[in-house]
Amino acid sequence: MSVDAPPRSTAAIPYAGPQPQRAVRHASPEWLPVIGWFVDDRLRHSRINVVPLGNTIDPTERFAATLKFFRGGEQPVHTFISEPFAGDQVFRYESADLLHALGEATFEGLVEITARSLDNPPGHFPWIDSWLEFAADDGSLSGSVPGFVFKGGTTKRVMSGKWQHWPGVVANAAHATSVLLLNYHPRPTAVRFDLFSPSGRLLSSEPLSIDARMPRTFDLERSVPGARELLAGEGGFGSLRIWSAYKLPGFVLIASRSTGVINSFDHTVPFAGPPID
Amino acid sequence: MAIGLGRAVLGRYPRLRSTWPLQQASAWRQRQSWRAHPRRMASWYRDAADLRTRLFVSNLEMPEAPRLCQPVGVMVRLYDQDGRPEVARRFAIPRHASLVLELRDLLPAARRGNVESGQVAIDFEGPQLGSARAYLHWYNERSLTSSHEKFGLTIPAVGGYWTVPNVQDSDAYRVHLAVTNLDARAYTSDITLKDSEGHARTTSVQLPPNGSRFLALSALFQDLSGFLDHQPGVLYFGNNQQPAMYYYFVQNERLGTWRVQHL
Repeated sequence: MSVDAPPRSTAAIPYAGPQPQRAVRHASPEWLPVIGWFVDDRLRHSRINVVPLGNTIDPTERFAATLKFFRGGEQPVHTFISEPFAGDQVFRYESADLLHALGEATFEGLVEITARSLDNPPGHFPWIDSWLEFAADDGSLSGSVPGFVFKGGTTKRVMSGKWQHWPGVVANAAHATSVLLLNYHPRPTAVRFDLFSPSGRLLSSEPLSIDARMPRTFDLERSVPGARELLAGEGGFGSLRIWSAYKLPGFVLIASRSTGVINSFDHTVPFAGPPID
Repeated sequence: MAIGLGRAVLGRYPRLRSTWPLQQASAWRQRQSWRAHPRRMASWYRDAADLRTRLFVSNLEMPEAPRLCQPVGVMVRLYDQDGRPEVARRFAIPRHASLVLELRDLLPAARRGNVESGQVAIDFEGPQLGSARAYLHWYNERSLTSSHEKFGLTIPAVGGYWTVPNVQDSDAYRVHLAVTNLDARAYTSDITLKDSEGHARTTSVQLPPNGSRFLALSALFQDLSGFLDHQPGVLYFGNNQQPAMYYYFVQNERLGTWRVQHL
Protein backbone atom coordinates (compact mmCIF):
# COMPACT_ATOMS: atom_id res chain seq x y z
CA MET A 1 0.00 0.00 0.00
CA SER A 2 1.37 3.39 -0.87
CA VAL A 3 1.03 6.55 1.09
CA ASP A 4 0.64 9.85 -0.67
CA ALA A 5 3.72 11.97 -0.37
CA PRO A 6 3.25 15.26 1.45
CA PRO A 7 2.49 18.14 -0.90
CA ARG A 8 5.63 19.72 -2.18
CA SER A 9 6.50 23.29 -1.42
CA THR A 10 6.33 25.68 -4.31
CA ALA A 11 7.10 29.33 -4.75
CA ALA A 12 3.43 30.08 -4.14
CA ILE A 13 3.15 27.70 -1.18
CA PRO A 14 6.53 27.68 0.52
CA TYR A 15 5.23 25.86 3.56
CA ALA A 16 2.95 23.16 2.27
CA GLY A 17 4.19 20.24 4.36
CA PRO A 18 1.65 18.43 6.54
CA GLN A 19 3.39 19.17 9.82
CA PRO A 20 4.62 22.43 11.27
CA GLN A 21 8.35 22.70 10.98
CA ARG A 22 10.74 25.35 11.94
CA ALA A 23 12.62 26.69 8.97
CA VAL A 24 16.37 26.89 9.23
CA ARG A 25 17.20 30.26 10.71
CA HIS A 26 19.98 32.29 9.23
CA ALA A 27 21.43 35.31 10.89
CA SER A 28 20.71 38.46 8.93
CA PRO A 29 23.46 40.93 8.15
CA GLU A 30 21.08 43.81 8.88
CA TRP A 31 18.60 44.71 11.56
CA LEU A 32 15.16 44.42 10.04
CA PRO A 33 12.49 47.09 10.20
CA VAL A 34 8.98 46.41 11.43
CA ILE A 35 5.93 48.12 10.00
CA GLY A 36 2.93 49.53 11.82
CA TRP A 37 -0.14 51.75 11.60
CA PHE A 38 0.28 55.20 13.10
CA VAL A 39 -2.59 57.61 13.66
CA ASP A 40 -3.42 60.77 15.55
CA ASP A 41 -6.64 62.60 14.70
CA ARG A 42 -7.07 64.44 18.01
CA LEU A 43 -9.32 61.63 19.24
CA ARG A 44 -7.20 58.57 18.51
CA HIS A 45 -3.54 58.49 19.49
CA SER A 46 -0.65 56.11 18.90
CA ARG A 47 2.45 55.19 20.79
CA ILE A 48 5.51 53.19 19.76
CA ASN A 49 7.15 50.97 22.37
CA VAL A 50 10.53 49.46 21.51
CA VAL A 51 11.33 46.78 24.07
CA PRO A 52 14.95 45.52 23.98
CA LEU A 53 14.30 43.05 26.79
CA GLY A 54 12.24 41.13 24.27
CA ASN A 55 15.49 40.40 22.48
CA THR A 56 18.29 40.55 25.03
CA ILE A 57 18.86 39.54 28.62
CA ASP A 58 21.70 42.04 28.97
CA PRO A 59 20.35 45.17 30.68
CA THR A 60 23.43 47.19 29.73
CA GLU A 61 23.40 46.45 25.98
CA ARG A 62 22.84 49.73 24.09
CA PHE A 63 20.18 50.24 21.43
CA ALA A 64 18.93 52.98 19.12
CA ALA A 65 15.81 53.29 16.98
CA THR A 66 15.09 55.00 13.67
CA LEU A 67 11.47 55.83 12.88
CA LYS A 68 10.31 56.68 9.35
CA PHE A 69 6.76 57.94 8.89
CA PHE A 70 5.08 57.49 5.51
CA ARG A 71 1.91 59.07 4.18
CA GLY A 72 1.60 58.01 0.58
CA GLY A 73 4.92 59.10 -0.88
CA GLU A 74 7.87 56.87 -1.50
CA GLN A 75 9.95 58.97 0.88
CA PRO A 76 9.05 59.42 4.54
CA VAL A 77 7.43 62.66 5.64
CA HIS A 78 9.47 62.56 8.82
CA THR A 79 12.44 60.60 10.17
CA PHE A 80 13.33 60.39 13.83
CA ILE A 81 16.55 58.95 15.21
CA SER A 82 16.56 58.20 18.91
CA GLU A 83 19.29 58.71 21.44
CA PRO A 84 20.91 55.45 22.58
CA PHE A 85 18.98 53.63 25.29
CA ALA A 86 19.84 50.69 27.51
CA GLY A 87 18.53 47.15 27.20
CA ASP A 88 16.39 47.42 30.31
CA GLN A 89 14.72 50.61 29.11
CA VAL A 90 11.67 50.95 26.87
CA PHE A 91 11.91 53.52 24.11
CA ARG A 92 8.53 55.20 23.69
CA TYR A 93 7.41 57.65 21.00
CA GLU A 94 4.01 59.35 21.10
CA SER A 95 1.98 60.48 18.11
CA ALA A 96 1.86 63.95 19.69
CA ASP A 97 5.64 64.11 19.12
CA LEU A 98 5.12 63.48 15.42
CA LEU A 99 2.40 66.11 15.11
CA HIS A 100 4.70 68.59 16.82
CA ALA A 101 7.55 67.73 14.45
CA LEU A 102 5.32 68.01 11.38
CA GLY A 103 3.54 71.11 12.60
CA GLU A 104 0.24 69.51 11.67
CA ALA A 105 -2.95 68.74 13.53
CA THR A 106 -3.51 65.17 12.38
CA PHE A 107 -1.66 62.24 10.83
CA GLU A 108 -2.57 58.81 9.52
CA GLY A 109 -0.01 56.68 7.77
CA LEU A 110 2.62 54.03 8.30
CA VAL A 111 5.66 53.91 10.48
CA GLU A 112 8.77 51.90 9.77
CA ILE A 113 10.66 51.11 12.98
CA THR A 114 14.26 49.97 12.73
CA ALA A 115 15.79 49.36 16.13
CA ARG A 116 19.31 48.04 16.42
CA SER A 117 21.83 47.06 19.02
CA LEU A 118 24.83 49.35 19.12
CA ASP A 119 26.93 46.61 20.72
CA ASN A 120 26.05 43.39 18.94
CA PRO A 121 25.35 42.32 15.36
CA PRO A 122 21.91 40.95 14.52
CA GLY A 123 21.41 37.28 15.32
CA HIS A 124 18.71 34.77 14.55
CA PHE A 125 15.96 37.25 15.41
CA PRO A 126 17.32 40.39 13.74
CA TRP A 127 14.68 42.82 14.95
CA ILE A 128 13.78 44.37 18.26
CA ASP A 129 10.40 43.71 19.80
CA SER A 130 8.30 46.77 18.95
CA TRP A 131 4.68 47.31 19.88
CA LEU A 132 2.23 49.88 18.61
CA GLU A 133 -0.45 51.01 21.01
CA PHE A 134 -3.62 52.85 20.18
CA ALA A 135 -6.06 54.65 22.46
CA ALA A 136 -8.93 57.07 22.00
CA ASP A 137 -9.78 59.88 24.41
CA ASP A 138 -13.38 58.68 24.64
CA GLY A 139 -12.38 55.05 25.20
CA SER A 140 -13.67 53.99 21.78
CA LEU A 141 -10.32 52.43 20.82
CA SER A 142 -7.89 50.50 22.95
CA GLY A 143 -5.37 48.19 21.36
CA SER A 144 -1.81 47.03 21.18
CA VAL A 145 -0.27 45.07 18.32
CA PRO A 146 3.25 43.98 17.42
CA GLY A 147 5.10 45.60 14.57
CA PHE A 148 5.27 43.35 11.51
CA VAL A 149 8.55 42.17 10.08
CA PHE A 150 7.76 42.65 6.45
CA LYS A 151 10.70 40.96 4.80
CA GLY A 152 13.75 39.02 5.79
CA GLY A 153 15.01 35.49 6.26
CA THR A 154 13.53 34.73 9.63
CA THR A 155 10.67 32.64 10.85
CA LYS A 156 8.83 34.85 13.28
CA ARG A 157 6.36 37.54 12.34
CA VAL A 158 7.44 37.50 8.72
CA MET A 159 4.57 38.00 6.35
CA SER A 160 4.34 35.57 3.50
CA GLY A 161 1.74 34.92 0.88
CA LYS A 162 -0.96 37.02 -0.65
CA TRP A 163 -3.73 35.22 1.22
CA GLN A 164 -4.48 35.79 4.86
CA HIS A 165 -7.43 35.02 7.06
CA TRP A 166 -9.19 35.51 10.36
CA PRO A 167 -11.55 32.90 11.77
CA GLY A 168 -14.15 34.61 13.94
CA VAL A 169 -15.22 37.85 12.29
CA VAL A 170 -18.54 39.15 13.60
CA ALA A 171 -21.44 40.86 11.86
CA ASN A 172 -24.48 40.70 14.09
CA ALA A 173 -26.69 42.92 16.23
CA ALA A 174 -24.08 43.23 18.94
CA HIS A 175 -20.78 43.65 17.08
CA ALA A 176 -19.29 44.87 13.81
CA THR A 177 -15.96 44.09 12.17
CA SER A 178 -13.53 46.21 10.24
CA VAL A 179 -10.28 45.28 8.55
CA LEU A 180 -7.12 47.39 8.62
CA LEU A 181 -4.57 46.70 5.89
CA LEU A 182 -1.16 48.34 5.60
CA ASN A 183 0.18 48.91 2.11
CA TYR A 184 3.91 49.36 2.52
CA HIS A 185 4.47 49.01 -1.22
CA PRO A 186 5.24 52.13 -3.27
CA ARG A 187 2.29 51.37 -5.55
CA PRO A 188 -1.47 50.90 -5.09
CA THR A 189 -2.44 47.37 -4.14
CA ALA A 190 -5.64 45.55 -5.03
CA VAL A 191 -7.49 43.50 -2.41
CA ARG A 192 -10.61 41.33 -2.17
CA PHE A 193 -12.50 39.96 0.80
CA ASP A 194 -14.07 36.49 0.82
CA LEU A 195 -16.46 35.94 3.71
CA PHE A 196 -17.37 32.37 4.64
CA SER A 197 -20.21 31.43 6.95
CA PRO A 198 -19.43 28.59 9.40
CA SER A 199 -21.29 26.19 7.12
CA GLY A 200 -19.17 27.27 4.15
CA ARG A 201 -21.39 29.67 2.22
CA LEU A 202 -19.38 32.42 0.53
CA LEU A 203 -19.76 36.10 -0.35
CA SER A 204 -17.00 38.18 -1.92
CA SER A 205 -16.34 41.89 -2.15
CA GLU A 206 -15.76 43.80 -5.32
CA PRO A 207 -12.08 44.47 -6.07
CA LEU A 208 -10.81 47.20 -3.76
CA SER A 209 -7.60 49.17 -3.65
CA ILE A 210 -5.23 50.72 -1.14
CA ASP A 211 -3.08 53.71 -2.01
CA ALA A 212 0.69 53.39 -2.03
CA ARG A 213 2.42 53.55 1.36
CA MET A 214 -0.88 54.03 3.19
CA PRO A 215 -3.15 52.18 5.58
CA ARG A 216 -6.82 51.70 4.84
CA THR A 217 -9.65 50.51 7.08
CA PHE A 218 -12.55 48.62 5.49
CA ASP A 219 -15.93 48.19 7.13
CA LEU A 220 -16.77 44.53 6.55
CA GLU A 221 -20.49 45.00 5.98
CA ARG A 222 -19.93 47.87 3.57
CA SER A 223 -17.21 46.01 1.69
CA VAL A 224 -19.13 42.74 1.46
CA PRO A 225 -22.79 43.65 0.87
CA GLY A 226 -25.05 41.01 2.39
CA ALA A 227 -22.46 40.00 4.97
CA ARG A 228 -24.81 40.33 7.89
CA GLU A 229 -27.54 38.35 6.16
CA LEU A 230 -25.05 35.64 5.19
CA LEU A 231 -24.03 35.11 8.80
CA ALA A 232 -27.41 35.81 10.40
CA GLY A 233 -28.49 32.21 10.67
CA GLU A 234 -25.19 31.11 12.17
CA GLY A 235 -24.75 33.43 15.13
CA GLY A 236 -23.37 36.31 13.13
CA PHE A 237 -19.91 34.72 13.00
CA GLY A 238 -17.78 33.78 10.04
CA SER A 239 -14.27 33.42 8.66
CA LEU A 240 -12.68 36.05 6.48
CA ARG A 241 -10.19 35.30 3.71
CA ILE A 242 -8.29 38.24 2.26
CA TRP A 243 -6.53 38.26 -1.08
CA SER A 244 -4.12 41.03 -2.03
CA ALA A 245 -2.01 41.53 -5.11
CA TYR A 246 1.02 42.07 -2.88
CA LYS A 247 1.39 40.97 0.67
CA LEU A 248 -0.10 43.33 3.25
CA PRO A 249 -0.01 43.22 7.02
CA GLY A 250 -3.63 42.83 8.09
CA PHE A 251 -5.56 43.42 11.30
CA VAL A 252 -9.13 42.82 12.36
CA LEU A 253 -10.95 45.22 14.67
CA ILE A 254 -14.25 44.32 16.32
CA ALA A 255 -16.48 47.01 17.82
CA SER A 256 -19.51 46.88 20.05
CA ARG A 257 -22.46 48.45 18.24
CA SER A 258 -24.07 49.65 21.46
CA THR A 259 -21.01 51.48 22.80
CA GLY A 260 -18.93 52.01 19.68
CA VAL A 261 -15.93 50.70 21.58
CA ILE A 262 -13.29 48.63 19.76
CA ASN A 263 -11.89 46.06 22.15
CA SER A 264 -10.57 43.53 19.69
CA PHE A 265 -7.52 44.38 17.61
CA ASP A 266 -5.08 41.73 16.45
CA HIS A 267 -3.38 40.55 13.30
CA THR A 268 -4.58 38.03 10.74
CA VAL A 269 -2.64 34.90 9.79
CA PRO A 270 -1.19 34.23 6.35
CA PHE A 271 -2.12 31.03 4.55
CA ALA A 272 1.37 30.22 3.39
CA GLY A 273 4.54 30.21 5.41
CA PRO A 274 5.03 29.21 9.01
CA PRO A 275 2.58 30.66 11.51
CA ILE A 276 3.47 34.16 12.56
CA ASP A 277 3.49 35.20 16.16
CA MET B 1 7.01 -8.28 3.37
CA ALA B 2 3.42 -7.55 2.37
CA ILE B 3 4.25 -3.87 2.03
CA GLY B 4 7.29 -4.67 -0.08
CA LEU B 5 5.21 -6.95 -2.28
CA GLY B 6 2.53 -4.29 -2.65
CA ARG B 7 5.08 -1.69 -3.64
CA ALA B 8 6.57 -4.04 -6.18
CA VAL B 9 3.15 -4.61 -7.73
CA LEU B 10 2.48 -0.88 -7.83
CA GLY B 11 5.88 -0.29 -9.34
CA ARG B 12 5.04 -2.71 -12.11
CA TYR B 13 1.45 -1.54 -12.56
CA PRO B 14 1.45 2.16 -11.59
CA ARG B 15 -2.05 2.65 -12.98
CA LEU B 16 -3.34 0.74 -9.96
CA ARG B 17 -2.59 3.81 -7.87
CA SER B 18 -5.51 5.64 -9.42
CA THR B 19 -8.03 2.88 -8.69
CA TRP B 20 -10.76 3.52 -6.15
CA PRO B 21 -9.70 0.96 -3.50
CA LEU B 22 -6.10 2.13 -3.45
CA GLN B 23 -7.11 5.77 -3.30
CA GLN B 24 -9.41 5.02 -0.36
CA ALA B 25 -6.66 3.12 1.41
CA SER B 26 -4.24 5.93 0.80
CA ALA B 27 -6.67 8.50 2.13
CA TRP B 28 -7.26 6.37 5.23
CA ARG B 29 -3.53 6.15 5.86
CA GLN B 30 -3.20 9.89 5.45
CA ARG B 31 -6.00 10.54 7.95
CA GLN B 32 -4.39 8.18 10.44
CA SER B 33 -1.09 10.02 10.02
CA TRP B 34 -2.72 13.41 10.60
CA ARG B 35 -4.51 12.09 13.67
CA ALA B 36 -1.25 10.71 15.04
CA HIS B 37 0.69 13.90 14.25
CA PRO B 38 -1.74 16.81 14.43
CA ARG B 39 -0.84 20.44 14.48
CA ARG B 40 -1.08 21.05 18.22
CA MET B 41 -2.52 24.40 19.25
CA ALA B 42 -3.48 25.73 22.64
CA SER B 43 -4.77 28.80 24.38
CA TRP B 44 -6.24 30.03 27.64
CA TYR B 45 -9.90 30.13 28.51
CA ARG B 46 -12.25 31.34 31.22
CA ASP B 47 -15.90 30.69 31.87
CA ALA B 48 -17.03 33.07 34.59
CA ALA B 49 -19.53 35.87 35.03
CA ASP B 50 -17.11 38.44 33.62
CA LEU B 51 -15.71 36.50 30.65
CA ARG B 52 -16.73 33.56 28.52
CA THR B 53 -14.75 31.93 25.73
CA ARG B 54 -15.63 30.99 22.16
CA LEU B 55 -13.32 29.04 19.85
CA PHE B 56 -12.98 29.29 16.05
CA VAL B 57 -11.14 26.95 13.74
CA SER B 58 -11.61 27.28 9.99
CA ASN B 59 -10.80 25.03 7.08
CA LEU B 60 -10.63 27.34 4.09
CA GLU B 61 -9.15 26.69 0.71
CA MET B 62 -6.20 28.58 -0.66
CA PRO B 63 -7.17 28.76 -4.33
CA GLU B 64 -3.63 28.10 -5.55
CA ALA B 65 -3.58 24.82 -3.62
CA PRO B 66 -7.18 23.56 -3.45
CA ARG B 67 -6.19 19.95 -2.75
CA LEU B 68 -4.78 20.99 0.60
CA CYS B 69 -8.29 21.80 1.76
CA GLN B 70 -9.90 18.53 2.80
CA PRO B 71 -12.37 17.60 5.52
CA VAL B 72 -10.47 17.58 8.80
CA GLY B 73 -10.94 16.44 12.36
CA VAL B 74 -10.26 18.70 15.32
CA MET B 75 -9.80 17.34 18.83
CA VAL B 76 -10.57 19.86 21.58
CA ARG B 77 -9.42 19.22 25.16
CA LEU B 78 -10.04 21.35 28.23
CA TYR B 79 -7.87 21.35 31.36
CA ASP B 80 -8.64 22.95 34.70
CA GLN B 81 -6.26 25.46 36.26
CA ASP B 82 -4.30 22.70 37.96
CA GLY B 83 -3.77 20.95 34.66
CA ARG B 84 -6.28 18.12 35.18
CA PRO B 85 -8.09 17.06 32.00
CA GLU B 86 -11.79 17.87 32.06
CA VAL B 87 -13.19 17.26 28.60
CA ALA B 88 -12.06 15.85 25.23
CA ARG B 89 -14.21 15.87 22.12
CA ARG B 90 -13.53 15.50 18.40
CA PHE B 91 -15.24 17.65 15.77
CA ALA B 92 -15.33 17.38 11.98
CA ILE B 93 -14.86 20.47 9.81
CA PRO B 94 -15.87 20.13 6.14
CA ARG B 95 -14.15 22.05 3.35
CA HIS B 96 -14.70 25.82 3.56
CA ALA B 97 -16.43 25.44 6.93
CA SER B 98 -15.52 26.77 10.36
CA LEU B 99 -15.95 25.31 13.81
CA VAL B 100 -17.62 27.78 16.18
CA LEU B 101 -17.60 26.39 19.69
CA GLU B 102 -18.79 27.86 22.96
CA LEU B 103 -16.37 26.22 25.35
CA ARG B 104 -18.91 26.30 28.17
CA ASP B 105 -21.02 23.88 26.15
CA LEU B 106 -18.29 21.29 26.64
CA LEU B 107 -18.19 21.72 30.41
CA PRO B 108 -20.20 19.69 32.90
CA ALA B 109 -23.17 21.73 34.18
CA ALA B 110 -21.60 22.23 37.60
CA ARG B 111 -18.49 23.78 36.07
CA ARG B 112 -20.26 26.25 33.81
CA GLY B 113 -19.66 29.77 34.95
CA ASN B 114 -17.12 28.58 37.50
CA VAL B 115 -13.87 28.24 35.56
CA GLU B 116 -11.51 31.01 36.56
CA SER B 117 -8.69 29.76 34.37
CA GLY B 118 -8.03 26.80 32.12
CA GLN B 119 -6.14 25.60 29.08
CA VAL B 120 -7.81 24.64 25.83
CA ALA B 121 -5.76 22.38 23.54
CA ILE B 122 -6.71 21.98 19.89
CA ASP B 123 -5.33 19.28 17.61
CA PHE B 124 -5.84 20.08 13.93
CA GLU B 125 -5.83 16.72 12.15
CA GLY B 126 -5.36 17.73 8.55
CA PRO B 127 -3.00 19.21 6.01
CA GLN B 128 -1.62 22.40 7.33
CA LEU B 129 -0.88 25.85 6.08
CA GLY B 130 0.17 28.76 8.19
CA SER B 131 -3.49 29.64 8.38
CA ALA B 132 -4.43 26.50 10.32
CA ARG B 133 -4.69 28.41 13.55
CA ALA B 134 -7.39 28.72 16.14
CA TYR B 135 -8.78 32.09 17.18
CA LEU B 136 -10.70 32.79 20.35
CA HIS B 137 -13.31 35.29 21.50
CA TRP B 138 -13.34 36.28 25.14
CA TYR B 139 -16.56 38.15 25.70
CA ASN B 140 -19.21 39.47 28.03
CA GLU B 141 -22.30 41.62 27.56
CA ARG B 142 -20.22 44.77 27.12
CA SER B 143 -17.28 43.67 25.02
CA LEU B 144 -15.70 41.08 22.81
CA THR B 145 -11.97 40.68 22.40
CA SER B 146 -10.12 38.21 20.23
CA SER B 147 -6.68 36.76 19.54
CA HIS B 148 -5.04 33.58 18.32
CA GLU B 149 -3.70 30.46 19.98
CA LYS B 150 -0.12 30.53 21.15
CA PHE B 151 1.13 26.98 21.40
CA GLY B 152 3.84 26.42 18.87
CA LEU B 153 5.69 29.72 18.91
CA THR B 154 6.50 30.08 22.54
CA ILE B 155 9.89 28.39 22.65
CA PRO B 156 12.11 30.19 23.19
CA ALA B 157 11.49 33.87 23.79
CA VAL B 158 13.05 35.96 21.06
CA GLY B 159 16.45 36.09 22.67
CA GLY B 160 15.04 37.90 25.70
CA TYR B 161 12.00 37.81 27.93
CA TRP B 162 8.26 37.72 27.33
CA THR B 163 7.43 41.31 28.01
CA VAL B 164 4.27 43.36 28.60
CA PRO B 165 5.27 46.69 27.07
CA ASN B 166 2.78 48.96 28.82
CA VAL B 167 1.54 48.38 32.36
CA GLN B 168 -0.76 50.89 33.99
CA ASP B 169 -3.19 50.79 36.88
CA SER B 170 -6.34 52.87 36.79
CA ASP B 171 -10.03 52.14 36.62
CA ALA B 172 -9.74 52.35 32.85
CA TYR B 173 -6.64 50.16 32.59
CA ARG B 174 -6.29 47.21 35.00
CA VAL B 175 -3.86 44.55 33.83
CA HIS B 176 -4.47 40.82 34.31
CA LEU B 177 -2.04 38.12 33.20
CA ALA B 178 -3.25 34.85 31.67
CA VAL B 179 -0.44 32.30 31.79
CA THR B 180 -0.53 28.65 30.79
CA ASN B 181 2.15 26.03 31.30
CA LEU B 182 2.82 23.87 28.24
CA ASP B 183 5.67 21.94 29.79
CA ALA B 184 5.56 18.44 31.25
CA ARG B 185 7.34 19.88 34.28
CA ALA B 186 6.10 22.47 36.72
CA TYR B 187 6.73 26.01 35.52
CA THR B 188 8.16 28.66 37.80
CA SER B 189 9.00 32.19 36.79
CA ASP B 190 9.97 35.45 38.35
CA ILE B 191 7.76 38.33 37.29
CA THR B 192 9.51 41.70 37.32
CA LEU B 193 7.66 44.99 37.17
CA LYS B 194 9.57 48.19 36.46
CA ASP B 195 8.26 51.71 36.71
CA SER B 196 9.14 54.44 34.23
CA GLU B 197 12.32 55.27 36.14
CA GLY B 198 13.55 51.68 36.25
CA HIS B 199 12.70 50.83 39.84
CA ALA B 200 11.86 47.15 40.06
CA ARG B 201 9.60 44.89 42.05
CA THR B 202 9.60 41.13 41.71
CA THR B 203 7.22 38.31 42.49
CA SER B 204 6.87 34.80 41.12
CA VAL B 205 4.33 32.42 39.67
CA GLN B 206 4.19 28.62 39.76
CA LEU B 207 2.10 26.42 37.50
CA PRO B 208 1.75 22.64 37.38
CA PRO B 209 1.98 20.88 33.99
CA ASN B 210 -0.92 22.02 31.78
CA GLY B 211 -1.91 24.38 34.58
CA SER B 212 -2.91 28.00 34.11
CA ARG B 213 -3.56 31.15 36.12
CA PHE B 214 -5.42 34.42 35.68
CA LEU B 215 -3.54 36.93 37.80
CA ALA B 216 -4.66 40.45 38.60
CA LEU B 217 -1.53 42.58 38.67
CA SER B 218 -2.88 44.57 41.58
CA ALA B 219 -3.02 41.34 43.57
CA LEU B 220 0.56 40.44 42.66
CA PHE B 221 2.02 43.86 43.50
CA GLN B 222 0.85 45.89 46.49
CA ASP B 223 0.06 49.58 45.88
CA LEU B 224 0.53 49.11 42.17
CA SER B 225 -0.93 52.47 41.29
CA GLY B 226 1.37 54.31 43.68
CA PHE B 227 4.41 52.44 42.41
CA LEU B 228 3.70 53.26 38.76
CA ASP B 229 2.75 56.86 39.59
CA HIS B 230 0.58 57.37 36.47
CA GLN B 231 3.43 56.49 34.11
CA PRO B 232 3.54 53.35 31.94
CA GLY B 233 5.65 50.56 33.36
CA VAL B 234 6.96 47.37 31.85
CA LEU B 235 6.65 43.78 33.05
CA TYR B 236 8.56 40.69 32.06
CA PHE B 237 8.67 37.00 32.87
CA GLY B 238 12.13 35.86 33.97
CA ASN B 239 11.69 32.27 32.77
CA ASN B 240 12.53 32.43 29.09
CA GLN B 241 13.40 28.74 28.79
CA GLN B 242 10.28 26.72 29.54
CA PRO B 243 7.35 26.65 27.13
CA ALA B 244 4.43 28.70 28.32
CA MET B 245 1.74 30.90 26.79
CA TYR B 246 1.23 34.48 27.84
CA TYR B 247 -1.65 36.85 27.24
CA TYR B 248 -2.51 40.01 29.08
CA PHE B 249 -6.01 41.40 29.51
CA VAL B 250 -6.73 45.06 30.10
CA GLN B 251 -9.93 45.63 32.04
CA ASN B 252 -11.76 48.93 31.78
CA GLU B 253 -13.82 48.95 34.95
CA ARG B 254 -15.67 52.09 33.96
CA LEU B 255 -16.92 50.58 30.70
CA GLY B 256 -17.09 46.96 31.88
CA THR B 257 -14.89 45.90 28.97
CA TRP B 258 -11.81 43.75 28.41
CA ARG B 259 -9.23 43.64 25.68
CA VAL B 260 -6.64 40.95 25.15
CA GLN B 261 -3.15 40.92 23.68
CA HIS B 262 -0.82 37.98 23.27
CA LEU B 263 2.87 38.29 24.04
